[in-house]
Amino acid sequence: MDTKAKNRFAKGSDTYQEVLTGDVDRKIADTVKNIPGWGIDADRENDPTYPMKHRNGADYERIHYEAPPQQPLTMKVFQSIERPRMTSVFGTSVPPRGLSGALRGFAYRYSETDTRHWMTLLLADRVNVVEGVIDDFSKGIVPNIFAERGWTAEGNTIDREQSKKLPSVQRSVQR
Amino acid sequence: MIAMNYRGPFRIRTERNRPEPEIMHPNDAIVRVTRSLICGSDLHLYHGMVPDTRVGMTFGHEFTGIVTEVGEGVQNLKVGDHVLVPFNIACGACPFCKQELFGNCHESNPQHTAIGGIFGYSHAAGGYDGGQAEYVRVPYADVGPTKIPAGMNIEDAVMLTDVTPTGYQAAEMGGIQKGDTVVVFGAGPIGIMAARCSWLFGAGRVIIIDHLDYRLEFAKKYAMCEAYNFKEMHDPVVFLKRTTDWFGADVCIDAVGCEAVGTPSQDITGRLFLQAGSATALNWAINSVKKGGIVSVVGVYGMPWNMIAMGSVLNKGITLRANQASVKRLLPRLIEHVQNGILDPKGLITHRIPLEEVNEAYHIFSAKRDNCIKPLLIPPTATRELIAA
Repeated sequence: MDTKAKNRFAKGSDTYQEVLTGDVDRKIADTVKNIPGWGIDADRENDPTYPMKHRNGADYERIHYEAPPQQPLTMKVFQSIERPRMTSVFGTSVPPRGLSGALRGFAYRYSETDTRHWMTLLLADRVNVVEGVIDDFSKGIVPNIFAERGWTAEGNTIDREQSKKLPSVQRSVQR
Repeated sequence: MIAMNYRGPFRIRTERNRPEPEIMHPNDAIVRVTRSLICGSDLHLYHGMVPDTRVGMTFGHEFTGIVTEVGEGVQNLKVGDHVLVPFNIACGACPFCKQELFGNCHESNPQHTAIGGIFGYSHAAGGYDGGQAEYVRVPYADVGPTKIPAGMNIEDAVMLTDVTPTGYQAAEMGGIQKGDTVVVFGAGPIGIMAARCSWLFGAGRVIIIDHLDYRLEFAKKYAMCEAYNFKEMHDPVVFLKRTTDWFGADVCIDAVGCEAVGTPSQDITGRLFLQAGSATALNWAINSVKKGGIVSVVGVYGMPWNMIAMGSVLNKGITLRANQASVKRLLPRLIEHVQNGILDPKGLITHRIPLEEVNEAYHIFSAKRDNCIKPLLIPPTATRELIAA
Protein backbone atom coordinates (compact mmCIF):
# COMPACT_ATOMS: atom_id res chain seq x y z
CA MET A 1 0.00 0.00 0.00
CA ASP A 2 1.44 3.42 -0.91
CA THR A 3 1.90 6.27 1.55
CA LYS A 4 -1.03 8.21 0.18
CA ALA A 5 -3.35 5.33 0.70
CA LYS A 6 -2.01 4.74 4.19
CA ASN A 7 -2.71 8.34 5.14
CA ARG A 8 -6.16 8.05 3.74
CA PHE A 9 -6.89 5.23 6.18
CA ALA A 10 -5.12 6.75 9.12
CA LYS A 11 -6.82 6.61 12.47
CA GLY A 12 -8.83 9.74 13.12
CA SER A 13 -9.28 10.62 9.46
CA ASP A 14 -12.72 11.22 7.98
CA THR A 15 -12.52 7.97 6.05
CA TYR A 16 -11.70 6.07 9.22
CA GLN A 17 -14.81 7.44 10.88
CA GLU A 18 -16.88 6.54 7.84
CA VAL A 19 -15.66 2.99 8.00
CA LEU A 20 -16.48 2.75 11.68
CA THR A 21 -20.02 3.79 10.88
CA GLY A 22 -20.14 1.31 8.05
CA ASP A 23 -20.83 3.84 5.31
CA VAL A 24 -17.71 3.36 3.26
CA ASP A 25 -15.43 0.46 2.52
CA ARG A 26 -12.06 2.12 2.09
CA LYS A 27 -10.53 -0.91 0.46
CA ILE A 28 -12.59 -0.23 -2.63
CA ALA A 29 -10.93 1.96 -5.21
CA ASP A 30 -12.77 5.07 -6.37
CA THR A 31 -12.75 3.82 -9.95
CA VAL A 32 -14.85 0.81 -8.96
CA LYS A 33 -17.51 3.10 -7.63
CA ASN A 34 -18.09 4.40 -11.14
CA ILE A 35 -19.44 1.01 -12.21
CA PRO A 36 -23.19 1.43 -12.85
CA GLY A 37 -25.18 0.14 -9.90
CA TRP A 38 -22.22 -0.09 -7.55
CA GLY A 39 -23.48 -0.59 -4.00
CA ILE A 40 -27.19 -0.05 -4.64
CA ASP A 41 -28.15 -3.42 -3.11
CA ALA A 42 -25.70 -3.32 -0.21
CA ASP A 43 -27.41 -4.25 3.03
CA ARG A 44 -25.52 -3.85 6.28
CA GLU A 45 -28.06 -6.02 8.05
CA ASN A 46 -27.21 -8.95 5.79
CA ASP A 47 -24.46 -10.24 8.04
CA PRO A 48 -24.24 -14.00 8.45
CA THR A 49 -21.51 -13.62 11.04
CA TYR A 50 -23.88 -11.99 13.55
CA PRO A 51 -23.74 -12.33 16.54
CA MET A 52 -20.31 -13.92 16.57
CA LYS A 53 -18.69 -10.86 15.07
CA HIS A 54 -19.01 -7.42 16.55
CA ARG A 55 -18.67 -5.46 13.33
CA ASN A 56 -16.84 -2.27 14.20
CA GLY A 57 -14.58 -1.62 11.25
CA ALA A 58 -11.52 -3.32 12.73
CA ASP A 59 -11.24 -5.40 9.56
CA TYR A 60 -10.28 -2.25 7.69
CA GLU A 61 -7.67 -1.01 10.12
CA ARG A 62 -5.82 -4.28 10.13
CA ILE A 63 -2.53 -2.92 8.90
CA HIS A 64 -2.55 -0.31 11.65
CA TYR A 65 -3.33 -2.35 14.72
CA GLU A 66 -0.81 -2.17 17.49
CA ALA A 67 0.37 -5.69 18.24
CA PRO A 68 1.33 -6.57 21.83
CA PRO A 69 5.06 -6.66 22.69
CA GLN A 70 7.05 -9.48 21.16
CA GLN A 71 7.91 -12.55 23.26
CA PRO A 72 11.67 -13.18 23.02
CA LEU A 73 12.50 -16.08 20.76
CA THR A 74 14.72 -18.40 22.80
CA MET A 75 14.14 -21.66 20.97
CA LYS A 76 13.20 -22.99 17.57
CA VAL A 77 9.57 -22.20 16.83
CA PHE A 78 8.10 -22.85 13.41
CA GLN A 79 6.18 -20.13 11.65
CA SER A 80 3.48 -20.54 9.05
CA ILE A 81 4.55 -19.26 5.63
CA GLU A 82 1.11 -17.66 5.45
CA ARG A 83 2.12 -14.96 7.90
CA PRO A 84 4.81 -12.29 7.57
CA ARG A 85 6.18 -12.43 11.12
CA MET A 86 6.06 -14.33 14.37
CA THR A 87 3.01 -13.83 16.56
CA SER A 88 3.49 -11.68 19.65
CA VAL A 89 3.32 -14.74 21.91
CA PHE A 90 3.83 -18.41 21.22
CA GLY A 91 3.98 -21.69 23.10
CA THR A 92 7.23 -23.27 24.19
CA SER A 93 5.93 -26.68 25.14
CA VAL A 94 8.19 -29.02 23.17
CA PRO A 95 10.80 -27.57 20.79
CA PRO A 96 11.39 -29.60 17.64
CA ARG A 97 14.36 -31.95 17.68
CA GLY A 98 15.68 -35.11 16.08
CA LEU A 99 14.26 -36.69 12.97
CA SER A 100 10.72 -35.66 13.89
CA GLY A 101 11.92 -32.07 14.21
CA ALA A 102 13.50 -32.23 10.76
CA LEU A 103 10.27 -33.60 9.33
CA ARG A 104 8.29 -30.83 11.00
CA GLY A 105 10.71 -28.29 9.53
CA PHE A 106 9.99 -29.74 6.10
CA ALA A 107 6.24 -29.59 6.75
CA TYR A 108 6.35 -25.92 7.70
CA ARG A 109 7.88 -25.08 4.33
CA TYR A 110 4.41 -25.59 2.88
CA SER A 111 1.20 -23.70 3.44
CA GLU A 112 -1.84 -24.92 5.34
CA THR A 113 -3.56 -25.83 2.10
CA ASP A 114 -0.81 -28.21 1.03
CA THR A 115 -1.15 -31.94 1.69
CA ARG A 116 2.59 -32.22 2.28
CA HIS A 117 2.23 -29.90 5.25
CA TRP A 118 -0.31 -31.96 7.16
CA MET A 119 0.71 -35.46 6.17
CA THR A 120 4.36 -34.76 7.01
CA LEU A 121 3.30 -33.47 10.42
CA LEU A 122 1.34 -36.67 11.04
CA LEU A 123 4.37 -38.72 9.98
CA ALA A 124 6.57 -36.66 12.30
CA ASP A 125 4.14 -37.37 15.16
CA ARG A 126 4.56 -41.12 14.68
CA VAL A 127 8.35 -40.83 14.43
CA ASN A 128 8.26 -38.72 17.58
CA VAL A 129 6.55 -41.56 19.48
CA VAL A 130 9.46 -43.88 18.64
CA GLU A 131 11.91 -41.14 19.65
CA GLY A 132 10.05 -40.83 22.94
CA VAL A 133 10.51 -44.51 23.71
CA ILE A 134 14.21 -44.36 22.80
CA ASP A 135 14.58 -41.28 24.99
CA ASP A 136 12.91 -43.12 27.89
CA PHE A 137 15.27 -46.07 27.59
CA SER A 138 18.26 -43.75 27.37
CA LYS A 139 17.22 -42.32 30.75
CA GLY A 140 16.67 -45.77 32.24
CA ILE A 141 12.88 -45.48 32.10
CA VAL A 142 10.93 -48.49 30.89
CA PRO A 143 7.53 -47.26 29.71
CA ASN A 144 4.70 -48.94 31.61
CA ILE A 145 2.33 -49.29 28.67
CA PHE A 146 -0.36 -50.91 30.83
CA ALA A 147 -0.47 -47.90 33.16
CA GLU A 148 0.04 -45.33 30.42
CA ARG A 149 -2.98 -46.64 28.58
CA GLY A 150 -5.00 -46.27 31.78
CA TRP A 151 -5.96 -49.92 31.91
CA THR A 152 -5.34 -49.84 35.65
CA ALA A 153 -8.68 -48.03 35.87
CA GLU A 154 -10.56 -51.15 34.86
CA GLY A 155 -10.11 -52.67 38.34
CA ASN A 156 -11.27 -49.50 40.06
CA THR A 157 -14.77 -49.40 38.62
CA ILE A 158 -16.39 -50.84 41.73
CA ASP A 159 -14.57 -48.36 43.95
CA ARG A 160 -15.72 -45.54 41.73
CA GLU A 161 -19.33 -46.67 41.89
CA GLN A 162 -19.18 -46.62 45.68
CA SER A 163 -17.34 -43.35 45.85
CA LYS A 164 -19.98 -41.61 43.72
CA LYS A 165 -21.98 -41.20 46.92
CA LEU A 166 -19.24 -39.10 48.45
CA PRO A 167 -18.72 -35.35 47.93
CA SER A 168 -16.19 -34.56 45.27
CA VAL A 169 -13.19 -33.63 47.38
CA GLN A 170 -13.66 -36.51 49.81
CA ARG A 171 -13.84 -38.80 46.86
CA SER A 172 -10.65 -37.51 45.37
CA VAL A 173 -8.83 -37.74 48.68
CA GLN A 174 -10.16 -41.20 49.32
CA ARG A 175 -8.75 -42.60 46.13
CA MET B 1 5.16 -30.00 39.73
CA ILE B 2 2.77 -32.73 38.64
CA ALA B 3 1.67 -32.58 35.01
CA MET B 4 0.06 -34.79 32.43
CA ASN B 5 2.65 -35.98 29.88
CA TYR B 6 1.59 -37.23 26.42
CA ARG B 7 3.72 -40.15 25.24
CA GLY B 8 1.88 -41.13 22.03
CA PRO B 9 -1.59 -42.24 20.93
CA PHE B 10 -3.52 -43.70 23.90
CA ARG B 11 -0.50 -43.23 26.18
CA ILE B 12 -0.47 -40.74 29.06
CA ARG B 13 1.96 -40.49 31.93
CA THR B 14 1.80 -38.53 35.17
CA GLU B 15 5.03 -36.58 35.37
CA ARG B 16 5.96 -35.58 38.91
CA ASN B 17 9.05 -33.48 38.35
CA ARG B 18 8.03 -31.16 35.54
CA PRO B 19 9.63 -27.70 36.00
CA GLU B 20 7.11 -25.01 36.87
CA PRO B 21 6.31 -22.57 34.06
CA GLU B 22 7.91 -19.12 33.98
CA ILE B 23 6.84 -15.68 32.85
CA MET B 24 8.02 -15.36 29.25
CA HIS B 25 6.24 -12.18 28.20
CA PRO B 26 5.24 -8.99 30.07
CA ASN B 27 1.55 -9.85 29.67
CA ASP B 28 1.88 -13.38 31.09
CA ALA B 29 0.56 -14.70 34.37
CA ILE B 30 1.31 -17.96 36.16
CA VAL B 31 -1.74 -19.70 37.56
CA ARG B 32 -1.92 -22.49 40.14
CA VAL B 33 -4.60 -24.79 38.79
CA THR B 34 -7.55 -25.51 41.07
CA ARG B 35 -9.66 -27.58 38.68
CA SER B 36 -9.22 -28.82 35.14
CA LEU B 37 -11.39 -30.86 32.84
CA ILE B 38 -10.78 -33.35 30.10
CA CYS B 39 -12.60 -32.21 26.98
CA GLY B 40 -14.00 -34.47 24.29
CA SER B 41 -11.66 -32.71 21.89
CA ASP B 42 -8.70 -33.72 24.08
CA LEU B 43 -9.58 -37.24 23.03
CA HIS B 44 -8.78 -36.32 19.41
CA LEU B 45 -5.26 -35.49 20.62
CA TYR B 46 -5.15 -38.60 22.80
CA HIS B 47 -6.11 -40.73 19.81
CA GLY B 48 -3.36 -39.20 17.67
CA MET B 49 -5.77 -37.49 15.28
CA VAL B 50 -4.38 -33.94 15.47
CA PRO B 51 -1.19 -33.16 13.49
CA ASP B 52 1.85 -31.79 15.36
CA THR B 53 0.94 -33.27 18.73
CA ARG B 54 4.39 -33.71 20.24
CA VAL B 55 5.52 -36.26 22.77
CA GLY B 56 6.05 -34.57 26.14
CA MET B 57 3.25 -32.04 25.82
CA THR B 58 0.69 -31.33 28.57
CA PHE B 59 -2.92 -31.15 27.43
CA GLY B 60 -5.81 -29.31 29.03
CA HIS B 61 -7.66 -26.20 27.86
CA GLU B 62 -10.40 -26.06 30.48
CA PHE B 63 -9.15 -24.90 33.86
CA THR B 64 -9.52 -22.53 36.76
CA GLY B 65 -6.70 -21.37 38.97
CA ILE B 66 -5.26 -18.88 41.40
CA VAL B 67 -2.82 -16.29 40.06
CA THR B 68 0.61 -16.76 41.64
CA GLU B 69 2.70 -14.43 39.51
CA VAL B 70 2.07 -11.71 36.94
CA GLY B 71 4.25 -10.11 34.28
CA GLU B 72 5.12 -6.41 34.46
CA GLY B 73 2.54 -5.50 31.83
CA VAL B 74 -0.45 -7.11 33.54
CA GLN B 75 -2.84 -4.58 35.01
CA ASN B 76 -6.19 -6.26 35.56
CA LEU B 77 -5.07 -9.27 37.59
CA LYS B 78 -3.15 -9.56 40.82
CA VAL B 79 -1.60 -12.41 42.76
CA GLY B 80 -4.29 -14.32 44.62
CA ASP B 81 -7.11 -13.73 42.13
CA HIS B 82 -9.10 -16.88 41.43
CA VAL B 83 -9.78 -16.95 37.70
CA LEU B 84 -11.45 -19.06 35.08
CA VAL B 85 -9.33 -19.19 31.94
CA PRO B 86 -11.06 -19.36 28.54
CA PHE B 87 -9.58 -21.98 26.26
CA ASN B 88 -8.85 -19.36 23.58
CA ILE B 89 -5.57 -17.48 23.90
CA ALA B 90 -6.51 -14.03 22.67
CA CYS B 91 -4.48 -10.82 22.45
CA GLY B 92 -7.42 -8.41 22.48
CA ALA B 93 -5.62 -6.13 20.01
CA CYS B 94 -5.77 -7.77 16.58
CA PRO B 95 -8.68 -7.03 14.20
CA PHE B 96 -10.34 -10.34 15.02
CA CYS B 97 -10.18 -9.92 18.79
CA LYS B 98 -11.42 -6.35 18.43
CA GLN B 99 -14.49 -7.75 16.72
CA GLU B 100 -14.96 -10.24 19.57
CA LEU B 101 -13.79 -13.20 17.52
CA PHE B 102 -11.60 -14.26 20.43
CA GLY B 103 -11.36 -17.79 19.08
CA ASN B 104 -9.66 -16.46 15.96
CA CYS B 105 -6.86 -14.36 17.45
CA HIS B 106 -4.11 -13.51 14.98
CA GLU B 107 -1.35 -13.03 17.57
CA SER B 108 -1.27 -16.31 19.46
CA ASN B 109 -0.44 -19.10 17.03
CA PRO B 110 2.66 -18.70 14.84
CA GLN B 111 2.41 -22.18 13.35
CA HIS B 112 -0.98 -21.82 11.69
CA THR B 113 -3.26 -19.02 10.59
CA ALA B 114 -6.48 -21.05 10.47
CA ILE B 115 -6.69 -21.39 14.23
CA GLY B 116 -5.89 -19.17 17.18
CA GLY B 117 -3.83 -20.29 20.13
CA ILE B 118 -5.39 -22.85 22.47
CA PHE B 119 -3.96 -24.11 25.74
CA GLY B 120 -2.62 -27.66 25.55
CA TYR B 121 -3.90 -28.37 22.10
CA SER B 122 -0.84 -29.40 20.05
CA HIS B 123 1.62 -27.20 18.22
CA ALA B 124 -0.98 -26.85 15.49
CA ALA B 125 -2.70 -24.54 17.99
CA GLY B 126 0.34 -22.65 19.18
CA GLY B 127 2.33 -25.16 21.23
CA TYR B 128 1.20 -24.05 24.69
CA ASP B 129 1.24 -26.42 27.63
CA GLY B 130 -2.20 -26.88 29.14
CA GLY B 131 -4.01 -26.98 32.44
CA GLN B 132 -3.83 -30.67 33.30
CA ALA B 133 -0.99 -29.73 35.60
CA GLU B 134 -0.44 -27.90 38.86
CA TYR B 135 0.73 -24.67 37.23
CA VAL B 136 0.18 -23.06 33.83
CA ARG B 137 1.62 -20.12 31.96
CA VAL B 138 -1.29 -17.91 30.82
CA PRO B 139 -0.40 -15.43 28.03
CA TYR B 140 -2.37 -12.20 27.57
CA ALA B 141 -3.49 -12.40 31.18
CA ASP B 142 -5.39 -9.11 30.97
CA VAL B 143 -7.63 -10.39 28.17
CA GLY B 144 -8.90 -13.93 28.70
CA PRO B 145 -8.77 -14.80 32.40
CA THR B 146 -11.88 -13.71 34.27
CA LYS B 147 -12.21 -13.44 38.03
CA ILE B 148 -14.66 -16.02 39.31
CA PRO B 149 -17.60 -14.22 40.93
CA ALA B 150 -17.62 -14.54 44.70
CA GLY B 151 -19.68 -17.46 45.87
CA MET B 152 -19.62 -19.32 42.57
CA ASN B 153 -18.83 -23.01 42.80
CA ILE B 154 -15.53 -23.54 41.00
CA GLU B 155 -16.96 -26.59 39.25
CA ASP B 156 -19.45 -24.25 37.58
CA ALA B 157 -16.61 -21.84 36.85
CA VAL B 158 -14.40 -24.43 35.17
CA MET B 159 -17.34 -25.53 33.04
CA LEU B 160 -17.54 -21.94 31.77
CA THR B 161 -14.10 -22.15 30.15
CA ASP B 162 -15.28 -24.22 27.16
CA VAL B 163 -18.20 -26.64 27.48
CA THR B 164 -20.91 -24.16 28.34
CA PRO B 165 -19.87 -21.40 25.90
CA THR B 166 -19.32 -23.91 23.09
CA GLY B 167 -22.71 -25.54 23.64
CA TYR B 168 -24.34 -22.13 23.90
CA GLN B 169 -22.64 -20.81 20.77
CA ALA B 170 -23.67 -23.96 18.88
CA ALA B 171 -27.29 -23.06 19.60
CA GLU B 172 -26.67 -19.36 18.96
CA MET B 173 -25.09 -20.05 15.55
CA GLY B 174 -28.16 -22.12 14.70
CA GLY B 175 -30.16 -18.89 14.54
CA ILE B 176 -32.98 -20.71 16.34
CA GLN B 177 -36.36 -19.05 15.99
CA LYS B 178 -39.23 -19.63 18.41
CA GLY B 179 -40.82 -22.99 17.73
CA ASP B 180 -37.95 -24.38 15.66
CA THR B 181 -37.07 -28.06 15.72
CA VAL B 182 -33.41 -28.50 16.62
CA VAL B 183 -31.51 -31.75 16.16
CA VAL B 184 -28.22 -32.18 18.00
CA PHE B 185 -25.85 -34.91 16.84
CA GLY B 186 -23.75 -36.22 19.72
CA ALA B 187 -24.75 -36.61 23.36
CA GLY B 188 -21.35 -35.78 24.78
CA PRO B 189 -20.96 -32.81 27.14
CA ILE B 190 -21.04 -30.24 24.32
CA GLY B 191 -24.04 -31.84 22.61
CA ILE B 192 -25.97 -32.06 25.86
CA MET B 193 -25.19 -28.43 26.64
CA ALA B 194 -26.16 -27.38 23.09
CA ALA B 195 -29.48 -29.18 23.52
CA ARG B 196 -30.03 -27.50 26.89
CA CYS B 197 -29.16 -24.07 25.47
CA SER B 198 -31.40 -24.52 22.42
CA TRP B 199 -34.38 -24.02 24.74
CA LEU B 200 -32.96 -20.61 25.77
CA PHE B 201 -33.36 -19.46 22.17
CA GLY B 202 -36.97 -20.59 21.98
CA ALA B 203 -36.76 -23.99 20.32
CA GLY B 204 -40.09 -25.79 20.11
CA ARG B 205 -38.59 -29.23 19.97
CA VAL B 206 -35.08 -30.51 20.71
CA ILE B 207 -33.87 -33.94 19.62
CA ILE B 208 -30.50 -35.47 20.46
CA ILE B 209 -28.97 -38.39 18.56
CA ASP B 210 -26.21 -40.71 19.76
CA HIS B 211 -25.42 -44.42 19.98
CA LEU B 212 -24.71 -44.73 23.71
CA ASP B 213 -27.80 -45.39 25.79
CA TYR B 214 -26.35 -44.07 29.06
CA ARG B 215 -25.55 -40.75 27.44
CA LEU B 216 -29.00 -40.52 25.87
CA GLU B 217 -30.61 -41.20 29.25
CA PHE B 218 -28.45 -38.50 30.82
CA ALA B 219 -29.25 -36.04 28.01
CA LYS B 220 -32.97 -36.70 28.26
CA LYS B 221 -32.97 -35.69 31.93
CA TYR B 222 -30.37 -32.93 31.88
CA ALA B 223 -31.46 -31.19 28.67
CA MET B 224 -35.15 -32.14 28.88
CA CYS B 225 -35.13 -33.22 25.25
CA GLU B 226 -36.03 -36.20 23.10
CA ALA B 227 -33.17 -38.67 22.78
CA TYR B 228 -32.76 -41.43 20.21
CA ASN B 229 -30.20 -44.12 19.55
CA PHE B 230 -29.27 -44.21 15.86
CA LYS B 231 -28.18 -47.83 16.16
CA GLU B 232 -31.84 -48.71 16.61
CA MET B 233 -32.73 -47.02 13.32
CA HIS B 234 -32.31 -48.21 9.79
CA ASP B 235 -31.28 -44.72 8.76
CA PRO B 236 -31.20 -41.73 11.14
CA VAL B 237 -31.74 -39.24 8.32
CA VAL B 238 -34.97 -40.96 7.25
CA PHE B 239 -36.06 -41.13 10.88
CA LEU B 240 -35.51 -37.41 11.31
CA LYS B 241 -37.30 -36.59 8.07
CA ARG B 242 -40.26 -38.69 9.12
CA THR B 243 -40.46 -37.06 12.53
CA THR B 244 -40.36 -33.57 11.00
CA ASP B 245 -43.26 -34.08 8.58
CA TRP B 246 -40.78 -35.17 5.90
CA PHE B 247 -39.34 -31.66 5.65
CA GLY B 248 -36.28 -31.88 7.89
CA ALA B 249 -35.23 -30.07 11.02
CA ASP B 250 -34.99 -26.29 11.07
CA VAL B 251 -31.57 -26.41 12.67
CA CYS B 252 -29.00 -29.20 12.98
CA ILE B 253 -25.99 -29.05 15.28
CA ASP B 254 -22.88 -31.18 14.81
CA ALA B 255 -21.43 -31.67 18.29
CA VAL B 256 -19.37 -34.73 17.44
CA GLY B 257 -16.54 -33.83 15.10
CA CYS B 258 -13.96 -36.07 13.56
CA GLU B 259 -14.51 -39.29 15.48
CA ALA B 260 -18.15 -39.92 14.65
CA VAL B 261 -19.25 -43.50 14.07
CA GLY B 262 -22.14 -44.83 12.03
CA THR B 263 -21.02 -44.80 8.39
CA PRO B 264 -18.50 -47.53 7.45
CA SER B 265 -17.00 -45.65 4.49
CA GLN B 266 -16.39 -42.61 6.71
CA ASP B 267 -15.01 -44.75 9.54
CA ILE B 268 -12.55 -46.59 7.30
CA THR B 269 -11.27 -43.58 5.38
CA GLY B 270 -10.97 -41.67 8.64
CA ARG B 271 -8.94 -44.35 10.35
CA LEU B 272 -6.65 -44.65 7.33
CA PHE B 273 -6.08 -40.88 7.42
CA LEU B 274 -7.49 -40.59 3.91
CA GLN B 275 -9.54 -37.82 5.48
CA ALA B 276 -9.30 -35.97 8.78
CA GLY B 277 -11.37 -38.47 10.72
CA SER B 278 -14.97 -39.38 10.03
CA ALA B 279 -17.50 -36.72 9.02
CA THR B 280 -20.58 -38.87 9.61
CA ALA B 281 -22.27 -36.47 12.02
CA LEU B 282 -21.78 -33.50 9.71
CA ASN B 283 -23.17 -35.41 6.74
CA TRP B 284 -26.20 -36.49 8.73
CA ALA B 285 -26.70 -32.89 9.83
CA ILE B 286 -26.55 -31.64 6.24
CA ASN B 287 -28.95 -34.31 5.06
CA SER B 288 -31.38 -33.97 7.99
CA VAL B 289 -31.83 -30.22 7.92
CA LYS B 290 -34.63 -28.66 5.91
CA LYS B 291 -34.05 -26.80 2.66
CA GLY B 292 -32.82 -23.36 3.59
CA GLY B 293 -32.01 -24.61 7.08
CA ILE B 294 -28.97 -23.92 9.21
CA VAL B 295 -26.23 -26.36 10.18
CA SER B 296 -24.13 -25.27 13.12
CA VAL B 297 -20.79 -27.00 13.61
CA VAL B 298 -18.83 -27.06 16.87
CA GLY B 299 -17.48 -30.59 16.57
CA VAL B 300 -13.72 -30.48 16.11
CA TYR B 301 -12.26 -31.61 12.81
CA GLY B 302 -8.58 -32.13 12.18
CA MET B 303 -6.68 -31.14 9.09
CA PRO B 304 -6.59 -31.10 6.13
CA TRP B 305 -9.98 -32.16 4.73
CA ASN B 306 -13.17 -34.19 5.12
CA MET B 307 -15.62 -35.79 2.76
CA ILE B 308 -18.92 -33.99 3.19
CA ALA B 309 -22.03 -33.71 1.04
CA MET B 310 -21.23 -30.32 -0.44
CA GLY B 311 -23.71 -30.89 -3.26
CA SER B 312 -26.51 -31.06 -0.72
CA VAL B 313 -25.29 -27.89 0.95
CA LEU B 314 -25.65 -26.15 -2.39
CA ASN B 315 -28.84 -27.75 -3.62
CA LYS B 316 -30.68 -27.37 -0.33
CA GLY B 317 -29.49 -23.80 0.20
CA ILE B 318 -28.07 -24.64 3.60
CA THR B 319 -26.30 -22.07 5.71
CA LEU B 320 -23.27 -23.66 7.30
CA ARG B 321 -22.01 -21.87 10.40
CA ALA B 322 -19.03 -22.86 12.48
CA ASN B 323 -16.39 -21.48 14.80
CA GLN B 324 -14.45 -22.11 17.94
CA ALA B 325 -16.48 -20.62 20.76
CA SER B 326 -15.64 -17.04 21.60
CA VAL B 327 -15.61 -17.66 25.33
CA LYS B 328 -14.85 -14.14 26.49
CA ARG B 329 -17.70 -12.69 24.44
CA LEU B 330 -20.21 -15.10 25.95
CA LEU B 331 -19.03 -15.12 29.57
CA PRO B 332 -21.08 -12.20 30.94
CA ARG B 333 -24.34 -13.72 29.71
CA LEU B 334 -23.44 -17.24 30.81
CA ILE B 335 -22.28 -16.19 34.26
CA GLU B 336 -25.66 -14.50 34.61
CA HIS B 337 -27.45 -17.70 33.57
CA VAL B 338 -25.48 -19.75 36.11
CA GLN B 339 -26.05 -17.26 38.91
CA ASN B 340 -29.77 -17.15 38.15
CA GLY B 341 -30.03 -20.93 38.14
CA ILE B 342 -30.96 -21.10 34.46
CA LEU B 343 -27.95 -23.29 33.69
CA ASP B 344 -26.30 -25.88 35.93
CA PRO B 345 -22.96 -26.63 34.21
CA LYS B 346 -21.47 -28.66 37.03
CA GLY B 347 -24.37 -31.08 36.68
CA LEU B 348 -22.55 -32.52 33.68
CA ILE B 349 -19.54 -33.61 35.75
CA THR B 350 -19.75 -37.30 36.53
CA HIS B 351 -16.20 -38.11 37.59
CA ARG B 352 -13.85 -36.31 39.97
CA ILE B 353 -10.40 -37.81 39.72
CA PRO B 354 -7.01 -36.82 41.20
CA LEU B 355 -4.63 -35.27 38.69
CA GLU B 356 -2.14 -37.99 39.55
CA GLU B 357 -4.49 -40.51 37.92
CA VAL B 358 -4.89 -38.58 34.67
CA ASN B 359 -3.95 -41.68 32.66
CA GLU B 360 -6.94 -43.55 34.08
CA ALA B 361 -9.19 -40.54 33.60
CA TYR B 362 -8.39 -40.47 29.87
CA HIS B 363 -9.02 -44.18 29.54
CA ILE B 364 -12.38 -44.00 31.34
CA PHE B 365 -13.51 -41.06 29.21
CA SER B 366 -12.18 -42.45 25.93
CA ALA B 367 -13.50 -45.99 26.43
CA LYS B 368 -16.86 -44.64 27.75
CA ARG B 369 -16.43 -46.63 30.95
CA ASP B 370 -18.42 -46.16 34.13
CA ASN B 371 -21.15 -44.06 32.44
CA CYS B 372 -18.68 -41.21 32.09
CA ILE B 373 -19.98 -37.90 30.73
CA LYS B 374 -17.40 -35.39 31.94
CA PRO B 375 -14.28 -36.06 34.04
CA LEU B 376 -12.83 -33.40 36.34
CA LEU B 377 -9.21 -33.45 37.51
CA ILE B 378 -8.28 -32.18 40.96
CA PRO B 379 -4.62 -31.30 41.58
CA PRO B 380 -3.29 -32.41 44.98
CA THR B 381 -2.57 -28.78 45.86
CA ALA B 382 -6.21 -27.77 45.38
CA THR B 383 -8.38 -30.26 47.21
CA ARG B 384 -9.64 -27.62 49.65
CA GLU B 385 -10.92 -25.11 47.12
CA LEU B 386 -14.62 -25.49 46.28
CA ILE B 387 -16.16 -22.05 46.25
CA ALA B 388 -14.57 -18.86 44.93
CA ALA B 389 -13.86 -16.34 47.69
